[in-house]
Formats: sequence, C-alpha cells, structure tokens
Amino acid sequence: MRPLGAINEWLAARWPFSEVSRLVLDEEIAGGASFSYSFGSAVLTVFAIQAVTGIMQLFFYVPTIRDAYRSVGYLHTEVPFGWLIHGLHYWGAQVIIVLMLVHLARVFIWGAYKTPRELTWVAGVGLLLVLMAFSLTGASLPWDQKGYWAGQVSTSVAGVIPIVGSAQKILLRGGQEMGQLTITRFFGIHVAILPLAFLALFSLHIVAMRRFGSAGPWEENKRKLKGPFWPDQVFKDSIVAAVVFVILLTLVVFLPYQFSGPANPFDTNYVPKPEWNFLFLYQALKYFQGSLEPVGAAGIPGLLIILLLVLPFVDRSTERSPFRRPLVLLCGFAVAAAVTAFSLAGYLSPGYGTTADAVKTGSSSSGPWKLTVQAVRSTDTSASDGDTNSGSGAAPAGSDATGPSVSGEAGEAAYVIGSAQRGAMLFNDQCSGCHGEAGKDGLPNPGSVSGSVPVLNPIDQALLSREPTVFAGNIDRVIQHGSLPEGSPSIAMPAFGDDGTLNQQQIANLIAYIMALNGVDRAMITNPGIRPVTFYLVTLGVFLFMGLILAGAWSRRSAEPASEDQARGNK
Amino acid sequence: MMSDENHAGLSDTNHKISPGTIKRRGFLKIAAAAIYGSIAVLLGLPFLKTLITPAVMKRSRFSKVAELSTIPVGEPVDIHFSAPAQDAFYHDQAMHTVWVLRGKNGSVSAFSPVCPHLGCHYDWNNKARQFQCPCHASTFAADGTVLGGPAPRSLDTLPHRIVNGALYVRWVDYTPGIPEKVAV
Repeated sequence: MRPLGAINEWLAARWPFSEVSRLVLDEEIAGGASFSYSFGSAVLTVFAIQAVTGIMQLFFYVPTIRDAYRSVGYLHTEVPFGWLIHGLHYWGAQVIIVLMLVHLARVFIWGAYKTPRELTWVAGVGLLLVLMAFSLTGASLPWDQKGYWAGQVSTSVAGVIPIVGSAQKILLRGGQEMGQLTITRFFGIHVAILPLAFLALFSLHIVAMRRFGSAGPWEENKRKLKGPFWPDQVFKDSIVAAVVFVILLTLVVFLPYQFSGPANPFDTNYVPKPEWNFLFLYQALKYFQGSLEPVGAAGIPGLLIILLLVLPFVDRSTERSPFRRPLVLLCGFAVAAAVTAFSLAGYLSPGYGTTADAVKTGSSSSGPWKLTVQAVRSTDTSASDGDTNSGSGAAPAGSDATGPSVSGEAGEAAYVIGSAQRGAMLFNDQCSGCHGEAGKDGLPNPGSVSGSVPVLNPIDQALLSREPTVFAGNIDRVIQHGSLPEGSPSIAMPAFGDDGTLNQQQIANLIAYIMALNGVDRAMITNPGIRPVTFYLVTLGVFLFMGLILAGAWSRRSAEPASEDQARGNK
Repeated sequence: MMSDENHAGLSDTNHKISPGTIKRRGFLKIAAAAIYGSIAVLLGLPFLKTLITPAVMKRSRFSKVAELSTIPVGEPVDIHFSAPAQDAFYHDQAMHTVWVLRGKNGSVSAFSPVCPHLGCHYDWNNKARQFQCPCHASTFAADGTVLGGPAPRSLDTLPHRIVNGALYVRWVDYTPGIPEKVAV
C-alpha cells in the first residue's frame, strides 16, 4: 500500500487529480438524480462503444473501392468476434441517433435550453450534426450497394444547392464521379475530422453544462432539494447504459447486418434509399422538382438546423413548465411529426427489395445467349495431360468428383459476399430459362449424357460444401468459365465471367442466391469466436448474476435505517 | 477514492461482520463501477481475441497435385502445384513444389521440398538414388531418412490424401534446423 501511496502523492503534486475529478464528478443536481437525465450519458456510452469498435475496425478495414467490401466481409465472417465489432458499430450508429433525439426532446420539453444554457444547447445541436455526418460518411465506407448508392445520392443532393453546390459535390467526391477518392475522403472525414469535431463540441457542451449545472425539474420548489451527481446520477446512468447495451446486443444478434452485395455502379434496377435518419429528406425532395430542387435540398435541412440553433434565442421567456409553453411545444411537436411522417412515407415508398418486377420479367427471358453448343474449355483433356499444374484450386477434397468438371481458377466473385436477394432477381433474368424457376428443373439437353441441364436446387453433391468460401469457389468456377456437359450436348453453360456477360458483382450475387437455395448462407460467420446467440446468453447471464449480487448487497444494507438518505436530505 | 469503500463493502458481505453496514453511497459506487466494468470486460476480452487470433492463425487446405496415374512408380518426382493462399481478405494461388514417391506396394509419400537443415531446396540424384541438398551436402534416402550431412531430421512429409485417384496435398511450412518436425 505504501509505494502506491507514494506514487499517488508524487502524481498529485504534479497533476490536479482532485480538481479534475471534482470537475467531472462533483456536481449538485437540482431535484436529485433522475433516469430522465440519463440520455446524454447514454449517448456518450454508445459513442465510447463506437470509438472502440471503430478503432478495432481500423485494424481490418481498407478504404479502397476494390477491397473495402471484402475487408468488411472478412472481418465480419472470418475474424473471431468480427461480427460483434462490425455489428455493434453498425447498430450503434443507429441507436446513438435515436438516443440523441430522445435527449434533445427531453431537454426541449424540460425547457432546459433556456438562458443561461444557450451555449450548451448550440453545442448539442452541433453534436447532432456531427453524428449525422458520421452516419452519412460511415454508410458509404463498406462500398456495398447500399453504401455506394447512399453516397451517390447524398453527394448529388449536396450538388444541387445553389452557388456552392457543384463545388461541394466534387470536393466531397474528389471528382465528378464517385470513385476511389470518394471513399478516401469519406474515410478521412469519418475517422479523423468528425471524431475531433465531436470531442471539441463535446468539451464545449459538457463544460458549458457544468458551468451552470443541471437545469433540474421545471418546478421551482422541486429544484431546492439537491442530490449529488456522483454516485447517485452515475448509478442511474449505469443502469441505463446496461439496458442500452443489451438492446444494442439484441439488435446485433437477432437483426444481423445484411450484406447488400458489392457496389455495382452499372446496376440500373437498384433503387437507392438512404439510411432511416435521412429518409425524411429523401422523401421531402420528391416534392421539390425541377427548379425547386435546391429549395428542398438546401432549404429543408437548412431550415431545421436554423430552427434548432435559434430556439434558445427566440424563446426567451423564463417559464420552463411544458404546460405553460403551449406554443413552443406545439411547434416542436409539429416539426417532429412532419419529420416522422416524411420518414415513414419515404420508408414505405417503393424501392430496394421489391422483387415484383424481376419476377414478371423473369419467365419471359430465356437469357442473352442462344441455345447452341458453345465452345467451352473441355476438362476431359486437362486431366489426361498429366501435367503437374493441374491443381484446381480449392477442390473439395474428400468429395465425389464425378460432377461437372471445370478447370480454371475461381474469380474475384468467389471471395465476395454477394446479396442473395439481388442474385434472385438476376437468376430469374439470366438463369431460370435453362435451370428452371429457383433452380428446380433443368431444360432437356439432347445429346448430353445426363439428358438435361443440371438442377441447381438441390445442387450436385460434388459442388456442395458447408464451408461458404469453398462452396462459393465451386459455383464460381462454373459461372466464370462455363462448362461443357459430357456427350454431345445441344446446350452448354456459357462462360458468363470470361465473356463479360456478367460482372463480378453480379456473379457474387448469383453465387449467394444459389448457395441460399442449397441452405448455405454466403454471409455465414465461419469464425465467430463465440456464437452470437451464446454470447448474448453469456451477457444476459453476467448481468443477471451481477444484478442478483447487487440486490443481495442492497437488501442487507436496507436492514439498517436509511441514515444516509436522511443525511443527504439535510445536505 | 472509492477503493477503500469498495473494500469495506466487500469485506462486510464476505465476513458477515454486521449486515446493513454497507453505506448507500458506497453501494451505488460499487454498483455503477460493476455495471460499467462488466460492459468493458464483456467487450474487451472478445476484442483482444479479435486482435490476437488472426495474428497467430494459419490455415491451409488440401490442393490437388496430380492424377495418381501420371506419377511414376519407384522414383521420386517433383511436382509443382498451385494452392489457394489467403492473406486476410486477399486470395491468391501460390505455387508450391512437392516431392512425391509412389511405392510399388501402392504407398504414396509426399515430401516438402525444403531441406530440414536450413531450408534449401534439395534435389534427387537418380544415379546415387538419394536426395542431395546443394547447400550443406545433407543426403537422404528415397524414403526421406537421413543418410549423411548435418540434417537434424528426416525429410518432412506433407499431409496428403488420395481422392478418386488424384493426389491432394496440404502445404505446411516446417521449422528448419531442429530435430523435431514442428510447423512454423
């Protein structure tokens, strides 16, 4: 104990620990601690989780248009607890905005933004904008379909703003078009500029808040009683933090991140939709068309920001009770209702996920190629060559090799997590003509030994594997390089990849769909560390156990009269 | 600041000195620290594993080397084959060589082409009927046993399988220079 004391003393003489801890912890809360004041601290807790998971992702993610998506897929499925890191960051980004809005609504209803707390409010509005910018730049970083198109649309929206618009757009994109410089810029903004901006505004926010203390209840007489921030409020905050953490984990485990497939700038039937927190703007823009577009693009967000910023300067009465500020409250709720209504309308409007069109066009299309024999690489000869280079990549050792023999390496698509949903649309369009709807039948193939085109659902046992990358590689080689059935078939599988009929993104989506038809999830987590559901139960167990111990300790303490509580009241 | 009170709180419950002496504020401090602390531990431990595992893990799969029928019997041959190589999210094909000896009794041995002495690539001398390493003159019999020179162990065999008449090998790097065969 003694050397520790000496170190403490030495440090205390050189750094103002007690002053700092007093600044952070010693605060009188008017009216005492309350759960309703916990939302700001909950935002901070989630921000801490975002910071840690963000830094963890920096050890795996690369901001390049070729590899960003693959690096995210690798982290999520092949690195232990990658699903947890990526999932927490993804869901944390949603939850933090919800908490921020609840915090804002709480301060608004309590009238806590009023003089002398204007600066606290303004810094808080700044923090909300920083979070929105985090959300916008972060969504594009995986360079998946969803993120690519969100970035495409948001920078276009920024581009229609009068005067500064086009400069703003090319500065954000790093050029006229979305590309490598876009992802690098979004990355730089997301991991360097915004965290610094957040910390700066957070310091402003918290110091300004401490300057005048917590506003407390709106009733004057309730404010006379004081309670300490530490530990009373911190204890309540910690309970809220635990609840928020469990909610976050529930989302991560039971609504896992959906891979939307690699970004495909040439996908013409993708209807991009922004993240939920930008849906109101997306929807509102639909009502401002042509020359009015700039009004929507700049006017609506601009107006909302200005309304928030000027609120404490316009609403100057000292009355804090929500029941005696009907006009302000009404305006606030009207704005909130409008934003919610626009968001809902945007959410319900048609977009990504509507497969009705694809189903309609599917049966009418027999594919872009003619049903004639195509010269594809014959694999019978390669085996008898006896050359020493005949290794066929990740051939499934131990499997029955009597299936369609295909040579050639797996293409890029084999290592990319495609979207089965996008793949389904493409399959209807390109593949169902021969392989039947959902791959269930094969068209007759006169002249071939088997007599028909292979059924893909269920797929040939030689291609099937429980290991996603192996299975994907097996399917990939057939789609990339084609296949010639044994005999003298009238139909051969074209080399969709080699002849450029399909790009790698499309092939990745098709692979994901064909795997899904055979009961294998392309995005399966192959190295979870601990299975998500198990981890979830462990977490609940830890909290339950801790709760029981704390409850036990609490009940022992209550055996004695609450002398401490009385002392607190007198203070 | 709170360590003393923590200590007091814990010793009260453990040693049953007198129930109810945990002070309210002390309890709140412990509870808040326990809750935030458990979140930190629940995330911290997994995240440590995230950083450590990819750094220590190496995986390789069986790759097809050749059809067995194309390999001569009784004489070792070196065969080049490509194996999928994974470096994080980069996938590539790496070229490897394996010395394969197909015995008359149907046995198959696959040797790593790397000399177990210091990692040079050895060769087969058909006249002398032995493997010879050009670096330090280690010699090995066709079955891999050391005949002479400084090699500390026999040639390293690679894991292999025969599936439908084709030879599959899994590439492994072994530590050179030591008597035991240990994967790198």
